[in-house]
Amino acid sequence: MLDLRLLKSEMEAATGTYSELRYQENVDIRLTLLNGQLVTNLQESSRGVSARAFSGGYWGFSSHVSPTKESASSALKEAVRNATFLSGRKKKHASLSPAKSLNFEKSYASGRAPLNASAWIDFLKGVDALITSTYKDLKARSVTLAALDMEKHFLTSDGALVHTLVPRAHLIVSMTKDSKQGPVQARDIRGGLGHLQDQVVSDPANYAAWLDEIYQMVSKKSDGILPDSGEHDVILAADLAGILAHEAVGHTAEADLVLGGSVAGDCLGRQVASPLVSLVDFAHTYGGKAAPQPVHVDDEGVEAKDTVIIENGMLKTFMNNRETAAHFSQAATGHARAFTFADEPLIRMRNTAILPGKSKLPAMISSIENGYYLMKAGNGQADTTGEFMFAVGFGYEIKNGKLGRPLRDSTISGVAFEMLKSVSMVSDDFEWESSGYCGKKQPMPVGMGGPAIKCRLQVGGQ
Amino acid sequence: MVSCTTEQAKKIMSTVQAAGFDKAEVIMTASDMTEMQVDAGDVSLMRSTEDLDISIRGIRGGRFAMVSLNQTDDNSLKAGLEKLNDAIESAPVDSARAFAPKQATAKAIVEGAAEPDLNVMYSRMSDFVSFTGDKYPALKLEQSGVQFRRSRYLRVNSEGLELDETSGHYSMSAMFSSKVGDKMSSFNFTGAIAKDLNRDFMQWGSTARLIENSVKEVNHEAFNGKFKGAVVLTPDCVFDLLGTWFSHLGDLRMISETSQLRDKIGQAVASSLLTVRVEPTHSDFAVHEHSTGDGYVSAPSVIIEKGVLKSYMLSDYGSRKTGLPRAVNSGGNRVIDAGDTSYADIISSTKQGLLLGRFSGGSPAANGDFSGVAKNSFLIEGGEITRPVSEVMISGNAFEMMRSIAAVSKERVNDGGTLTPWVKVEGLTVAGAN
Repeated sequence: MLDLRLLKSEMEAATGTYSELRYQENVDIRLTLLNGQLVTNLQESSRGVSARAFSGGYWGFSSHVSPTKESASSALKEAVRNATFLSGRKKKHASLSPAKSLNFEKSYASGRAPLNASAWIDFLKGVDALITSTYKDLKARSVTLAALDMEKHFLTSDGALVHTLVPRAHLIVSMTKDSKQGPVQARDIRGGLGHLQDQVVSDPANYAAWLDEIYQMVSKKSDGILPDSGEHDVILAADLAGILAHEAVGHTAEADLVLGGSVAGDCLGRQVASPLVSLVDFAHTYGGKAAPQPVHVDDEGVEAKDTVIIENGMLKTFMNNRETAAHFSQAATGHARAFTFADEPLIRMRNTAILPGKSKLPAMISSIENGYYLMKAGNGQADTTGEFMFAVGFGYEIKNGKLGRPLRDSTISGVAFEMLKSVSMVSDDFEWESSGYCGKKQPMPVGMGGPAIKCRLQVGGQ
Repeated sequence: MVSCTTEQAKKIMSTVQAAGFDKAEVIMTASDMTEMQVDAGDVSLMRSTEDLDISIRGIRGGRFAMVSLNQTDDNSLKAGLEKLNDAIESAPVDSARAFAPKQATAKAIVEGAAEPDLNVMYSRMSDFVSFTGDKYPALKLEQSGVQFRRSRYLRVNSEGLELDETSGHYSMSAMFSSKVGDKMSSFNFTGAIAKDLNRDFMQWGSTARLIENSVKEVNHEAFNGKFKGAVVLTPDCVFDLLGTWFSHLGDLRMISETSQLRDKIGQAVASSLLTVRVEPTHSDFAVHEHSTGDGYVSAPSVIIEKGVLKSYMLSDYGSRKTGLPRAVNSGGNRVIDAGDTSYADIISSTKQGLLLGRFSGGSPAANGDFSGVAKNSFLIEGGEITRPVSEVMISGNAFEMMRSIAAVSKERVNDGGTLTPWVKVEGLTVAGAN
């Protein structure tokens, strides 16, 4: 394996230039049984070396697939050449915030013996057999194993030498049933930080209760209603509070989007939410346990720390890389991450969560006369204005403080800093959602979490 | 470019066959990419990457597996082969698994530029930044860039298939919003592909129109009200909305028997105003789908002709699983036939409606129900575009929507790979904040 330290003297020779070298391997696994047929049976590995250089206020980047010293050396020279190409055309004043010289190593591999593909497929068949033997009226079902390992070695000219391995693994089950309104589908995900052998693959019978939850969900949806479109009092379950924290608020507080004009840019130090709302992007640990996507040192060699974005309703800071931290005179707290070896680090969230409050969920439900309890999140999108949208896969109407008819698929939207001011109750529990990918030029695994919150927002229905 | 030759691909294929596989297929894709990236209004990053993907697929005893790697050294290939062997052991027997046959029409293709012109790339990008900055002071360019990619795609298999496609093209992308004081528009984005850099970026695809609209959108106001009526889909969001419908013609829905369009060939499934084709050889496109995802030489097809469903969009595998015909392409170069109504007439004939710039929607339900936020959108009142609106949700059903198309514009937008008009649909629910 390539020892990046062999390139140290070459990095130091480029005076006046900050540089990084990264050797990275991503391993993707995806297997899907659709109605018992293995329609996806894929293992993918991608590795290579890349360099990034900062010179004259501009960045240059280069990558090669061959993970050799010669390739790394070429990448370094090309990165400097690319930065110089830009700096030679226009003067620019930009600087980087300082970073400590770190020597860090962390692996989230459990050490448990890896399983082979036969074991994965046998497990999928076992889960599928459990579904078909228990639930006879399904139109379709799919069972998927998905895993991603990201292993990074990197060296910076500031002296950081880092090696991290962060694996995650998930089981995804969906069930489809016919209804009077056409087919309805319910899906759910289990898993999190760790390899398939740590998190997911075990006796299929261990999943029986969870499969029953999915079946109940699809069955209720088949008799479900669409909500009335318009603004309503709602309770967002933890699943949705997490995506709200990420999409609606988190993105607007990313410093590169602030520079692009996002709404948070004018709100620093202002009350943007109810005092009940505090929102933190956790680096690696929450409540004494590893967060779903732990980052200890980011891809610029910056030690990752928790970033308190909103504290008791007040916007406190942005999420920065070293360049934006210098621009805004804020601290860089470890948000620069790259997805593959061939990608440059961008400002990314890590584990974004609304902190729990003091209310009890049943009391929250009974406080609503006419509204909705929204439980399962689908995809989501945010805007630099703070306007957000996300899909809701399941929920119930609330009538006179009690849960009523179940809901079919819907969408909710709002404007983050207005909607957050409407938060009137926050539950005292907390859940992580560990399977999310954030899309921003490159995909990136992220964690999202929260309690249940009561607020007012727009519901799309009929 | 990293080494990528037919000889290498064939050698890997022989190794797979020698390891006891009945059938083998190897796809090698190598590419070089150079990109200049704008961040917060400045060309701030130049990035060059080299990439390689080797996809190795095997069939043994009716079982199928594939692995993908990006290294050509013996140890990596050996490890890949071991994974392939392992993955196939427990795979269920699936008689629908097959590789594409040798085809007389398969010929080596080379198109587009061989090398990027870095100086012109830079000047086009910096001119775009300066021009938009001078003409639209309210505009804020966010992540935007120009890219040149040269790639070689090789596909060989044990049936005698040999595909060899090399292409080079430029693409541009722009993400932007506008801000005056504390009023700002939603962000919007656009992108297009071209063979060369002869035109400035404002002329690519929808760029000029969307930037001009972005500046107008600063003065958006929340829409209070709710109506069921006309929504004019701009070319930029037509396929975002119609995509749900098209997914019901594809493998996943068809194989799982959850498609609402199965057995509808020859039936009217959409308004007679709608004709949708796939034209992989269209001369106005900068990029072409030369072959399908499963290795067949792509050919033109008609998906919907005057509202009547003409073909499914099934892969070879999907076709074998369902017993229905294989699509002769993968749907890469979509063309919607121009209608007979001008864009101006579509607007002037709309008494109350919404001009939808971008759709930010949730994953569609299996029955076609959808809802989402109308972004970068304008209200149409009394036949005129009156004002930009925000906090508007639209909802409807994809299958009903296709039957409710009331007009297709004469004008179309070519983004380098697709050709799309404005499409007016009736009967969608448009709901404001209050």
